[in-house]
Amino acid sequence: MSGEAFAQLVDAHYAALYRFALSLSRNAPDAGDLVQQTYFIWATKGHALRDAGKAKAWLFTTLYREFLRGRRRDARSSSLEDPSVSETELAAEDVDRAVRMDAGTAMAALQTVDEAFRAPLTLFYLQDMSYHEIATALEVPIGTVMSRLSRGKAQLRTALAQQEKSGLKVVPFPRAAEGGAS
Amino acid sequence: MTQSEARFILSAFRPNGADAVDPSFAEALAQASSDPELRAWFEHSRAHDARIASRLAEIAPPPGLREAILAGARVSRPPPPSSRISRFWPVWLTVAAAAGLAIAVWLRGPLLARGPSPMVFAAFADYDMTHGHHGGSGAATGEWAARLASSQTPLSEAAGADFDRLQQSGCRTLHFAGRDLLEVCFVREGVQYHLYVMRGVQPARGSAGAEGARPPGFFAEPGGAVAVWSVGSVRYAVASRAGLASVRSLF
Repeated sequence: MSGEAFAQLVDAHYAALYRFALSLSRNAPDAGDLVQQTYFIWATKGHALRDAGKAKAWLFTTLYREFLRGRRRDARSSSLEDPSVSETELAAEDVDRAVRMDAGTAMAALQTVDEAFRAPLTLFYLQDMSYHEIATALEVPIGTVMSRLSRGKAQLRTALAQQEKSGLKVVPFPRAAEGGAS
Repeated sequence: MTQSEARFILSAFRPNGADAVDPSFAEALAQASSDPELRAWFEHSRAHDARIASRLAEIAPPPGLREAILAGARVSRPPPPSSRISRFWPVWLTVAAAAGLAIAVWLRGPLLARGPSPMVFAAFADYDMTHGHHGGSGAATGEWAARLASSQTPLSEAAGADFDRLQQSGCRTLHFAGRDLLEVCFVREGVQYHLYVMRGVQPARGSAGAEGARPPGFFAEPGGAVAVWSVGSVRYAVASRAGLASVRSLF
């Protein structure tokens, strides 16, 4: 792959990959590392991918694998598939709350969602991938993606409600317009 | 299809409408159009999702990340055939150019404080081990190499060095990712290793242990194997052509 084609691949996906990594790793330095590593792996191995149309899925899959490989499993991981997670009903105040929140609040709430739900939920909100593509990227069945989206959204609503209730102050993330990237 | 099933399926419908042509949603969408309660829920759900999606889209990558990615990729590219290089272009200059190019773009932005990711640092160490001109001078460098060679302690405990003293006394000094780094060669049990020391980096919060220590991560590289670890603000890489088993034995 030429340097120009590689730069185009970076420009097309690095912002979305960063948001995905930030949601997974919960801190900006590790998110930056994950994105760097993903493209680095592409530079060394990705050129073997024959179907250029699959580059996006390959990048997200690789980033997710790198995240799973690098993180230490902690006690929290044991509750990831906890079937007792309750699904709360979407209420009108949830939408009002979403209107009031800023980018930092949204990401902070997303980062509290259990990891198994957080990965598909973040990809869903990035809107670049259909649920079929999310299933491919995360290497899980389609039904599992739907289930995790549904339960992840319930957890996210709960987290946003709790944040508002506690008046939690969130350090704002740099916005696209300020950072010069999108 | 029950209303509950329709909700379950519609939860995966992207708020930007990109899934409108996906036949998997057709039945649930049709039901939403005829069921007022389901339709109201779906409208609320899409409004909620759209708001969150737009907020996430406002989060920008840190300045310098794009340049860091491009720099890391440059380091990873295989060099041109050596015969062609040696006729027109000294090998050391190729290394310097590769590193310099990476630095030039890396110098900008907050990633400078962060330093190269372990994987990128490992690639640099492998590249330099394979293509660099090795050899330093000075008594301090000799003492350091001897200590590394004879030490029975794990390398992560023995690698500490007086950076300024070594640099001033003639230890081989390179420049990468906006920083000076030292390189010393040593031999343990008949195997040659190259140790690289970079200071002034911030260890990752997620993986930092006591005193900001980051345990060694191991990388299989084209030229051999590399381990990268950090202690406080100092990042180390040790590379060897002898492979992963030899590198692992140092720790």
